[in-house]
Amino acid sequence: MANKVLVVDDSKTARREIARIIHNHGILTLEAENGRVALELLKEKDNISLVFCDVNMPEMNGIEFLEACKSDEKLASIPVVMLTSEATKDVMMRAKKAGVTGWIIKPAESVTIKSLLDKFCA
Amino acid sequence: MEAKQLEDLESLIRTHIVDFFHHRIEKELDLVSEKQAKENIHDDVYSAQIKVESPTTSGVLAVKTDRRFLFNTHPERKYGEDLEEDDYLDWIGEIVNRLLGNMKNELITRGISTDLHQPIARHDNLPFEEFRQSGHDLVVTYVGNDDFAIEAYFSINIL
Repeated sequence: MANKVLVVDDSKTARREIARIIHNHGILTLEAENGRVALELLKEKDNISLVFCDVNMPEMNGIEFLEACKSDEKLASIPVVMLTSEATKDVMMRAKKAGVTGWIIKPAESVTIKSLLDKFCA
Repeated sequence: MEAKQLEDLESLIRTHIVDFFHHRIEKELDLVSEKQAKENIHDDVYSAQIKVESPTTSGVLAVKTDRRFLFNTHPERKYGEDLEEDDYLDWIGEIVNRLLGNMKNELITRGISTDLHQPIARHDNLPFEEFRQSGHDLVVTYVGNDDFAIEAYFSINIL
C-alpha cells in the first residue's frame, strides 16, 4: 500500500499549499483540521509515513497532538514535523522534549518538503 | 507606551506585512498614506483579528483588505483554482495568524508576550475602532502599492 503523508492545519489554505507540494512529488496526502482529527486518522490508517502539523489549532493544538502521538506506542515511531509560523523557544523546547522530528517555518519551501519526503517516504 | 515604542511597533508590523507578501504579488508593497489605503481598499472588504494575550499582555492584532487583494495573493490563484467565500475568510485568517506568529519572537524582545489564539475572520468593513479596548495603546499602519492596500491595527496593553 502506498505511503501517505498527513497534513494537519486548521487553515484549508495552508493544508492545500503543502498538499500541493507533496502531490507534485507523487505522494498521496490525508488532511486533518486539528490534532484530535489527526490522532483519529493515525489510529485508523496504517500507511501514514510522515506528518506535517501546525501548532496553533483549535480543540487539540499541534504540541498536544505531538505529545499524544509520541506517548502511544503504536504511533510513536511516525515522524512528526511541525509546520508553523512561530518559532518561540519555549514551544520548540516542549516539542523537542516530546520527540519532534523537525520544525519548518511557513511558508514551506518545496525543496525542504522534498528532502523530508525523500527521507521518510522513499 | 511611549511614542517611540509605538513607532517601533508600527515599523515591525509594516515590515512583516511587506515580507509576508514579498513574491506573492507582482508589485511589492510599501508604506502608503491612509488616504491611498482607503482608496485602494474597495467595497468588498474582509477583516481578521487575533487576540494577543498572556499574563502580562492583552490586545488585538487585526488586518483589513478587500477581496481583490485576497484573490491576488491567495496561494491557489496561480493554479487557476476557483475561490469561494470560505477560501477568502480562511486566507485572511491565515494572514493575521501567520503575521502574529512570525512577529512573536520580536514582540517578546519588546516585552510583549502572547499565546496564540484562533483568528476570527469576517466579511465586512467593521471600523477598527470596534476592536479597540479601553486603556490600550494603538498602532495603525497602511501598506500597499498602486492597486492594493492592507490595513493593520494593533491594540495593545502591557499590564
